[in-house]
Parts: sequence; structure tokens; C-alpha cells
Amino acid sequence: MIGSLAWVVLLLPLAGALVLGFSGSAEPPKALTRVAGVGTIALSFAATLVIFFTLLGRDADDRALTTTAWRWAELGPLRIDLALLLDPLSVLMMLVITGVGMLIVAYSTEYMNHDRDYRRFFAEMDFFIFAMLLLVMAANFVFLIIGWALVGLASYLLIGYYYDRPSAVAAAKKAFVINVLGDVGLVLAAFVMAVKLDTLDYAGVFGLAPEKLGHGGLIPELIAVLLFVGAAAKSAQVPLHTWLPDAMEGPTPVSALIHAATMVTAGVYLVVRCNVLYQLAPHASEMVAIVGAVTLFIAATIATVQEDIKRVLAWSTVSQIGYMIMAAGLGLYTGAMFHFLTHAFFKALLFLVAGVVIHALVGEQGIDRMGGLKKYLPVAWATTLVGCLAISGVPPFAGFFSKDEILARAWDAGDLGKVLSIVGLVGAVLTAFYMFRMFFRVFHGPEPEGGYAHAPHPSGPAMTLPVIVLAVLSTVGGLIQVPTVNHWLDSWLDVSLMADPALEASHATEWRTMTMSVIAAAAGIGLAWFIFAADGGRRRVQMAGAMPALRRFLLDQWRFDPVIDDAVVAPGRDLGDAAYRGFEPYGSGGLVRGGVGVATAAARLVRATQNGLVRMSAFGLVVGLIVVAAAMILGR
Amino acid sequence: MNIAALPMMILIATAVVALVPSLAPPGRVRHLGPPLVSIVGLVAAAGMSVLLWGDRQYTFYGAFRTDRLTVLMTLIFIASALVTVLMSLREPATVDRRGEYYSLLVAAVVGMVLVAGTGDLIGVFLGIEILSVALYVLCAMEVWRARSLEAGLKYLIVGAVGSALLLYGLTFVFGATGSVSLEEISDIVRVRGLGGEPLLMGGMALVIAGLGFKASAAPFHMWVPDVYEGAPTPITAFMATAVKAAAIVAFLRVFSGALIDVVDDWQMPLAVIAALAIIAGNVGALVQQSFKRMMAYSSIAQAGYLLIGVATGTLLGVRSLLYYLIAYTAMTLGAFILVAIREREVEDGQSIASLAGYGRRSPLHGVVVTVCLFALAGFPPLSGFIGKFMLFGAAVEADLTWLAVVGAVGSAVSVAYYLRPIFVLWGEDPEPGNARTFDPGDGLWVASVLAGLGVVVTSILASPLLDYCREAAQALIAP
Repeated sequence: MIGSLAWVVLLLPLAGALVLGFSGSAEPPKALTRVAGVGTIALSFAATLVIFFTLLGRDADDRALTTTAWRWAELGPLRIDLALLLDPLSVLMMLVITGVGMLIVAYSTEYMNHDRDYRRFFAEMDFFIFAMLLLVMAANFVFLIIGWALVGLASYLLIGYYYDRPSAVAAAKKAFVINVLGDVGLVLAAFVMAVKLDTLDYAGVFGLAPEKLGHGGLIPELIAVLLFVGAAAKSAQVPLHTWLPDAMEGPTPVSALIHAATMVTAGVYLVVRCNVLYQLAPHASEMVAIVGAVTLFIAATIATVQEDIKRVLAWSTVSQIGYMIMAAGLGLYTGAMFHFLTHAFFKALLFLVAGVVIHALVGEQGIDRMGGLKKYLPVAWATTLVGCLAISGVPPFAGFFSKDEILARAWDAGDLGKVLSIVGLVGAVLTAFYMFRMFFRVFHGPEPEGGYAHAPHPSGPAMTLPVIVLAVLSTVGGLIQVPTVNHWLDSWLDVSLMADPALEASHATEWRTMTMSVIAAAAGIGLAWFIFAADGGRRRVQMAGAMPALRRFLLDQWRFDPVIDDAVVAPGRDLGDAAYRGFEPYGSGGLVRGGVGVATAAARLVRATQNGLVRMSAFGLVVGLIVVAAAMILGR
Repeated sequence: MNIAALPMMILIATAVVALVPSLAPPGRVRHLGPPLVSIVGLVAAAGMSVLLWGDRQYTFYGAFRTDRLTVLMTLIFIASALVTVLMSLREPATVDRRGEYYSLLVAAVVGMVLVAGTGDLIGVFLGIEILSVALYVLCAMEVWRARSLEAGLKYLIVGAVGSALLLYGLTFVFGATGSVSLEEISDIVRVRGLGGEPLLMGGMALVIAGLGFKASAAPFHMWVPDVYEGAPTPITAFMATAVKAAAIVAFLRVFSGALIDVVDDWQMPLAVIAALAIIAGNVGALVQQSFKRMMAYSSIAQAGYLLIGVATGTLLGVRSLLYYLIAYTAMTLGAFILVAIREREVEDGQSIASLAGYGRRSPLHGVVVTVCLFALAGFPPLSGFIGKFMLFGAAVEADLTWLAVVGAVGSAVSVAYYLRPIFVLWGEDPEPGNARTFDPGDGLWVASVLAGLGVVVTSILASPLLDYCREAAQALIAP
């Protein structure tokens, strides 16, 4: 029964997207769009809840099932079915995608009300939710990759929603190109698996891999690294992270849903889903953990100097995903998923409140054009406070438990774990600092010079309700797994994590980490209060000139963009320019452009032989004949 | 004579009848008669072919064999020709010579069907020549345009050299084996163990060169960009799909069919020209400013992917190749349809720049081309991805891992140039005043929908299609 319900969950958003996308050229009544856009996802969420409770009522060993629609392709021993997998891990993801997705889409009905192309927005959001569901529900790597590519497409469409804004188009392209890079990694990984294991089903791959690939060999390491290329591109990990901050060009609900709560955590999902493979690849796992830690630190430092409310949140997202990836790399799969869950709540909350603020100020996003908003927007103030406390790791809010679990268990996970745990703790100080920096500057302190042109207006119920629901979830969401009290998530995910090393922190570590993280949060919040709030904001002005070099370095985002530009793009471009001027305007940007440049230089050689003369062509035939003959003789 | 050759007979009759309406005085009959006759004839031949799906039947004393491979290929040729006819309805090249145009087009299909079903070496050459001669003329049909004339002439001269090589090679094969019948050759090669026989090897080298030329594989591809760019766009689309398919099926009939027992002799040269085509096509396409020329280079690279399937010499390879051929035909036609539309609408319609903002103005064509280019680039879940995945897998299985790597890298590079038109297409129009100058007409609209549907259907119904492809491949390789 729940097998067919899974198809309902998957196809409802697609139906919504198709109905909205192809219902003629005239804009239908907005009420209809709302019903179709939100209704399909709400129904999908309801069906997911039924699935969840059905599985919850079963024995732990009986909680995974596969439902097959038809055999899509049969290639020798390799069989690829269009099949969905329902297991604790995918159901957890589905709950977040449809549940948080429903809240955000409901919120958009008001947020996008005065925007153009109302229908297109909901069509694309529904399409995204379909693609994301396909990604997490797929029962084999082929449909995972399909979902993976489709969410990239949806993200491209939604980042470029304001298609006449050049910065939006550029950001959309950048995101797309980097994501395609990741897709290539995934496809190659799938290819290696298909050749080595003759199967691409999760069940088959994870069942055969330990025996056929062995532990720590070249092949499992290669597969794990290739998979991580895909994960890193999608989850914005260093050095493939540069697209995510730019992606804030999309409408705010898009940032909340795609670039905070769901899509960007697909990389975490992938690593956790492939836990068997990562357990076979210790070096690749260490690399994953280190990349996560580096990312969380770099992004947290950059977030401390951002002046755009959405970019603060974007860098914070990169940093928080860093925690998850680090946890997944260390083998703390439950910790990664726990943080994914709480992060989905509080980061969606923060983005949606940011949307409320932006909406109240008629599109203003710079935090230096904000201040003293507490008295205009009391609900937004209270909910932002909840969000900030949650992300900073103040007990008893959700983020405290999930972050603490990662840091405590990491501490007891070997030497690398200890180092990374300390990095995570430093990151926690920074997190508390930059979040409360934003909080104090937006809601406290003086109003911007000249005051507000229009009195900021609170938003209506459609925007307020989802915010409040998410605030409640951010407050209590962490209670599903409290150290020494209950381990609900551990036991729930147990079936999906076939190779979970089940690392546990000792009581001593547990208590020490808890104390340390509370101190870290308090330090960050205190520092932010001291600089931005204690003195009515005057101290900020005094300190504005301090440490200009460091500040500029952070504002340049650690110079990733220019370095990539100088090291890869520019030489490639010079080569390319020499070969063909005018290609540049349509270059695809980033790393790809660099590769293209090199190839372009080679192309020049090819072109030189192609001068359009007939005798050249005829000569080519003769040369070709010689090549063929040589290959024939040498190939024997 | 039984009815197994009926599709070819219908096509021959169609080619003749299509000339008749053009004798009518100027008017509707003269204008619409030839394309209508062609469409009816092509559809009738296709329907007849479908009925022939089954075990092998011989006609013309064994010179023509109708098996599942013949039927499958005939359907591909006809599908491509039908779309070409629809694309050509308002083609400037057809003004005043509508009868000749459509008649020659159908005649080319006759040649292709002959190649697909040929039972002997003579049929291979005859078929290839019938289609080539028809195409020499079609390329130059727009006589008042220098580029078109040049394309036709260039194709003729270089094509003659290619045909000469092919014919020379076929005579060597005949000399080495003493037979022109493909089935007899197969037996003789097996019984006498002709592996390494110099005469046969020389013959095979020449045949590879000659057919490689027709399939536009590197290093025999030098004529391709100029000819493809100069020819009328529907003809270019036809050449890139049906003609290439005909050359590939000739490869299959001669090498994978008749000479399968000396696969060690011809595997390496085929693998090498496949790799060279992939490299030359993908690298060449990177720097093109003209969409049409870019597609020309792309088709060189795609010929390389197709040849991987021949080079494997295995059932899986042939089966993957056939599937990819079907997919490739749909997606390439879709891309060329956009060229045809744009070059009629605006001044420099062949350039990528002229596509700017077109997707938003005409979402239907925009979506079709986007899907087609994604498929060509090999994005999952589209048919291009499935096909390439299978071809590379078949290469690995046949111990040609290096070739699979070349293919995969080439495929990654190709993303760069296939995405460019998409970005431009959905980007902003720098000069919104780019108004239409010429109504492209309903034919292109229908053709576009057909091509788009083709890509989607081949992607979704991969499994049944692959089953048909396996049966066709078995008809070729299994006795």
C-alpha cells in the first residue's frame, strides 16, 4: 500500500508543475495558482506522513521497501529499474522536503504576490520539489543522477528567475556550470560501479561492494572521491562553493527552500546514503571530513563581514553544511542527518524572516540600511532571535543538540576527529558572532540615517504562520535526540546505515563538549553584543577601520574567485583568445572556461588544416588511409 | 519475387511519381504535389516495413535481405527523410525545382535502404553511390548561392575520391575471398581462416577509409564543415542523420556481419578513427560561432561515438549503437530545425548569437532544442546519456577501455559547446527589434514537435527500444 503511496508523493508535485506550466499562455487567477501550487505539495506531505507513521509502526528490520514501476533498461547483466526506495533515510528526507517545502511555498503565496510571473514561480517550485523527491527516493544510482541533474536545472531556472537582471543570469550560469562539473563526477562514479559490480541498485551495490571491492583499495577510494565531487558541487564545499552566495539572486523563498533547507544538503544525503562505500574508503572519508571542516571555517569567517542580509545567511549555510559534511566524513552519519534536520528548520526560518524584513522594507537587503526594526516587526524579532539562538547552539534550541552531537562524537573519533572538533568549536564562536551581528544590526541599534521612507509593515498571515511553525520546530526539534536521554534518530536511521560505525561519545566528552559549546556560543553572542548593541551601535563605527587588510581579505571571500580566475581561467582565456577572439562572451565561466581555453588552443591547430581547399580534403583522405593502414598493422 | 523488397519498390515509385506534379502549371499542385507525394510514399514504405519485422527474407536472388536490421534502419532513414520533407516545405532551395528536390531526396533513401539490406558487396557500393549522387545535386540545389554551389562541388570531388577508395577496397575483398556475397564471404573467411591475409587487410583498410569518409569520421572529415555549412539546412540535417546512418549500417553489414571472424584485424583501425573523430569533432566545435558549423563538428564527434559500437564487434556494441543511432537522429534533427527557422527569420540566422532571447519568444522551439542539446551532451536521463553510457560500457567489455575514456572525456568537453546555445537561447535578447523577416511555416513547427517527441520517447521507452535493437543486432551477428 505505502509502495503506491510513494508514487503519489513523487508525482503530485510534478502534476502541479505540469498543470501550472502548461495551462495556456494567459496568467490564471492567482487563487487557482495557489491551490494548485500549495495544494499538491500539502497532499504530498500528508501522504509522506502516512508513510512515515506506517513505517514507524513496523519492526525496525521491516522498514525498507522498494517499489518498481517498470524496467527502464536492461543492458546485459546491468538492470536499471524505475524504482523508488522507502527507508528511514529517504523518508526523513521526504518529510523535510515536503513539510518545509509546503511551509515555504505557502509563504511564497504572499511574498511573490506583487511579483511578476506568479504562475511560473509556483510551477518551477513544484518542479523542484518533484526533482528533489526523485533524488532522495531513487532506488538506484541512475535515478539518483537524474534527480541530481533535474534539481540543478530547477535551481538554474529559479536563480535566474529575474532573467532580465544580468547578475541573476550570471549567477544562474555559474551555479549550473559548477553543478554540471559535479554531475560528471557522479556519472563517472556510477560508470565505475557499473563496470565493477554489474549493478547500480543501492541494494546491489552496497551488498556487493564490501566483498568485491575490498577495503581501502584504489577502486573504492576512486568511487568515493568521484561521488564526493558531485556532493561537493551540490553542497557548495570548498573549492566548488563560489556559486552558492551568488545564487542569492533568486527570490528569497527559493533561497530558503533550495539553497538552505533541501537541495544544497543533497551532498550530505549522498555521502550518508553511500556510507557503505565510504567505510570502504578511509582516505576518501578523511578527505571529505577535512574539506567539510575547511569549508565550515572559511565560510564562517566570510560571513562575519557580509553586508547583505541574504549573503550572511548564504555563507552561514555553506558553513553549516560544512559541519554536516565533516560529520559524514568522520563516519558520524546520524550526526550529519540530525544537523541536516535541525538546520532545515532554523535556516529556513532565518531565510523566511529575512524575507519578511526585506518585504517590509520594499526590497532593501543591505543591513546597514536596517536597524531598530524591533518596534516595527515584533514577531520577526522574536522568531529571528529563536533562529539565531538555534544556529548558535544555545540550549535547549534545536541547533545545540545537533551541533553538540557532531562535536562530541568527533572528539572521540580518533586524532583527526579531535582536530576537526576544535575547528568546529572555533566555527561555533564565529557562527554565534556573525548571526548576532546580523540580529543586532537589523533589529536593534539606531535606525539608518534619514529613517525609513515608508514605515516598515508587518506581513500578513500567509507569511507569518510558516515562520512561527518553523520557530517552534527550531525550538523543540532537537529533543528527538538528547545525549544520555534518548536516541530516537539513531535507532530510526539504523536500517539505512548499513556500515555505521556507531561512534558514541563518552559521558565525560559529552559534558565537556556541551560546556565548551555553550561557552563558545556565549562568547560569540557577547562579542557581537559588545560591538553592535551595547553602546547603541557607536562602537561599531569606531571599529569600522580596524584591521583593514583582514577585512578586505574576508570581503574578497578569501579571494577564491580571483584565484580561480588567475590560476585557471586567465591562462586558459589567453590561450583561447589567441585562437579565437569573440568566443569569450559565451564562455561558460569558472573552471570549465579554463578547460575550454586550453582546448581552444588545440582547436587552432585543427582549424589550420581546414582551410576549405578541396585538395586539402582529398589529401586528408590519403592521410586517413595511411592512419587506418598503420593502425591495422600495428593493432594486430 | 516475394514482398520483402516492397518498401524499396514503393520508394522507387515515389521518387518517380514525385516528379509528375512539378509538370503542372504554377499553382497549388505544382507547389504542394511533390512533398505530398513524398510524404505519402515514405509513410507507406514505413508501414510496409513495420509489417516485415521478422525473420530474414531474401529477394533478388539473395542480393537483398530483409531482416530486422534492414527494417529498423529503413525506419530510421524514413523518419529522417520525413522530417526533412517537413523542414523543406518553404526552403528557398526548392523554389522552381520542387519535383527534382523531393524526388532526389526519396531516391537517396532508396540508396540507403539498399545499403541496409544488401546481400553482397555490389549492393554496398551501389547504394552508397545512389545516395551520394542524389546528395551531390541536393547540396548544390541553391545554385544562386555561391556557398551552396561550392558545397555541392566540393562534396562531389572529394566524394568521388571516397567512392573510388571504397570501390577499390571492395574489389580487394572480392579478390581475397572470391565472392561478392556477404554470407559467402563470411563462410569463406571462417573456413579458410583469412586472418592476417594481406590482400584482405588491404581491402579492409580501403573500405574503412571509403566508408569513414561517408560517415564523416576523422581524419576523413575535412570536407564536413564546409559542405554542411553550405548545403541547404534541411539537406544538412538529412546528411547528418540519414547519410551517416547509411554509412554506419554499411560498416555493420561488411565488418560486424561478413568479416566478424577477422575482427582482430579491423578492430584497431576502427577504434582509432572513432577516437580521432571524437577528438577532432569536439575540439573543432568548441570555437565555432556558427550554430550550423558547430553542429557539423558535433556530428563528426557523434560519428566517433557511433563507430565505437562497430569497433567493439560484439552484440552489445551493435545493440548500443543502434539505440544511439535512433536517439542521435531525433536530437540532431531537432537542433538543425532551429537553424532552419532562424536563418529564415533573421539575417545571420546560422550564428549562435542570433539565438539570443529566442527561447522566450518561441518557447516551443526553445524547449525542443534545449532537450535535444541536453541529449546530445549526454545529460541523464535523456536518450543520449543512455546510449553513450551503453556504448562506453560495450567498449570496456570489448577491452577497448582507452576508447571509452576518450569518449567520456570528449563527452565532458562537449558539454561546454552544447550548453552555449542553450544559455544564449534563454538569455536576454540584446536588440529586441530582431523581428521576423520570413514566416518559417507550419512544416517546421510539426517537424520540431516530432523531433522533440522523438527524444523524449526514446528516453522513456528505452527498455522496449533496446529490446528491438537487440533483435536487430542478433539478425546481423547471430547466424
